Amino acid sequence: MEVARFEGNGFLETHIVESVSWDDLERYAASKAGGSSEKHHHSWRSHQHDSSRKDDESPGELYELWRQEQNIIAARLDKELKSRWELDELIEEQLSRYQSHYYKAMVATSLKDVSNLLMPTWIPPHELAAVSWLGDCRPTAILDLLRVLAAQNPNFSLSESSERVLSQLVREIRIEEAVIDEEYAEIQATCVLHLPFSPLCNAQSREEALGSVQELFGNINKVISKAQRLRYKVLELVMKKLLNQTDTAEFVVAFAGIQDVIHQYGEQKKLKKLYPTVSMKGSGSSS
Amino acid sequence: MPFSIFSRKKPTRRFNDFYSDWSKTLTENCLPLLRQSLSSAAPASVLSSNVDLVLRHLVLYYETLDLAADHNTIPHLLFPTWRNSLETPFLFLGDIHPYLLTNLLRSFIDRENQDSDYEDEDTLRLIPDPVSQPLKLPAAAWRDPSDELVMRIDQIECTMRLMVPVLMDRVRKAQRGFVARVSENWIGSYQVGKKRKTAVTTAAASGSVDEAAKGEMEELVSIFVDANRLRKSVIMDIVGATSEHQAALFLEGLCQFLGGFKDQVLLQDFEVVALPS
Repeated sequence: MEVARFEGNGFLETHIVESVSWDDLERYAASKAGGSSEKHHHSWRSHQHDSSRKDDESPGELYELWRQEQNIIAARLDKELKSRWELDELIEEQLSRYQSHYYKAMVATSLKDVSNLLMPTWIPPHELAAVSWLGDCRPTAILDLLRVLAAQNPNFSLSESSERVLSQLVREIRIEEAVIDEEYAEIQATCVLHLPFSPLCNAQSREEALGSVQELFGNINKVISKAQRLRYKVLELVMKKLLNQTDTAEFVVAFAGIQDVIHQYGEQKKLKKLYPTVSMKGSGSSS
Repeated sequence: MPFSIFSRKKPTRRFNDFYSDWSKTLTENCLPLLRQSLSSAAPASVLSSNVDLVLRHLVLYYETLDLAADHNTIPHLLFPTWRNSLETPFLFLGDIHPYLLTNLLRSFIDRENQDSDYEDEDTLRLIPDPVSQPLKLPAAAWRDPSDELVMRIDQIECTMRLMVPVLMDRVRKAQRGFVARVSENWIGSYQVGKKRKTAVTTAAASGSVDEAAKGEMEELVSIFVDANRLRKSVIMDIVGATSEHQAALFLEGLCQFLGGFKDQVLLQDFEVVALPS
């Protein structure tokens, strides 16, 4: 029986080989396709059935059929690859969105911006209290989400070494968060005494007074920027280094979805307008 | 409400109204009272009762904060919109950082004991307006503090340095626990939705957020109350550890500082100024 075989140069040569059947061809095609779909498998089988009936089919015709089938697989693979590239592009796009969010959009230029970044009026108070660390999510909480995802999602394929890296990362990011906390506490507890109305401040003029406020807020802004950079660093490490393409996509979907439900919770609570009250006995004066 | 006269609900007012009155009393009554009693003409008994009065005013604030806190209101107390943009960056769990209190006290002591030129500088700062500007500090109020005072300050600081990190840690745990719980629920519903090829049901997801949040908010109330207890006890401990004269000076400095955030001229400038480049 004659059978078609590819040579390295891509040209076809025909050889007479004993006991090579359509089954062999099918296996060859399937192995090259990296596991073709079941549906496709059936089509090959029916073809095999047909061909066995037509023993008189010429080698040229068999080759033509084989080539057509190969083209069908190639077209399907091409489609799959394109959607992978699209996935890559989407992931890149989202990562650069995170970058511009933390490096460009959420950046203070005035003193008032600093306060707004720490206590954003566009985020409902319940959402702020629930998740906010220096005005946005905690970098360690991003990693917590990843841990839950790895534990609960059967499609998630975090390797053992990646899991070790994740645990190490949680420890490191926790320390970096604590360092930023310390730096901020130093400003809130010590540097704050340089404000112009402090009993220890020697500011003589209005300009000097404002200068000391500017300096202090500049330092707070540096702390905020560090926190923003740490958030981006975590997202970049997770999306570029730790996870494969599909897992990254799963992660982004979960991250967005979870932020969304927490935001909705905050908005609903805000609508209820439950503000703190004081009984009339506490009149605000001790006298 | 037509039947409100029969209502058993106690009459209440919004916390921000209380705060604005409280703050006004602090700058308009407490501060001048302390300054008057610190002037050499005032008898010692006046100083003592005024220190007591101001201390009670400060304690009243923390007690009122605690009473206003529950799982619904805690976010507003942690992120109070009644504080202006100049002061919100300095809020630690809704109010001043506890370390600030001992740092203020220490800086009084350090300034008087380190700088030999201090007296000259202080004389330069003397402006003849007893209400809006601090008086010249009575000489030697903080000079050579007693060993007992130094030891007490160390003790107070030591306690604080044990407690503040615990408070921070509790907040971190509460927030991370909340995110983890919400993530578990969300991912669970997402898996189910994927199998059924439907989107995550928002109702199911938000119900579980509510439940997780309630637990977190209750923990935040407890942390907030503990932070207030710490601030309150540090103020009381400092007043207890110092002489009446020193306590009056400390409280005067604290009231001046707290009131300073409401300085309208500074606030006007603050609103328009850019960050240093």
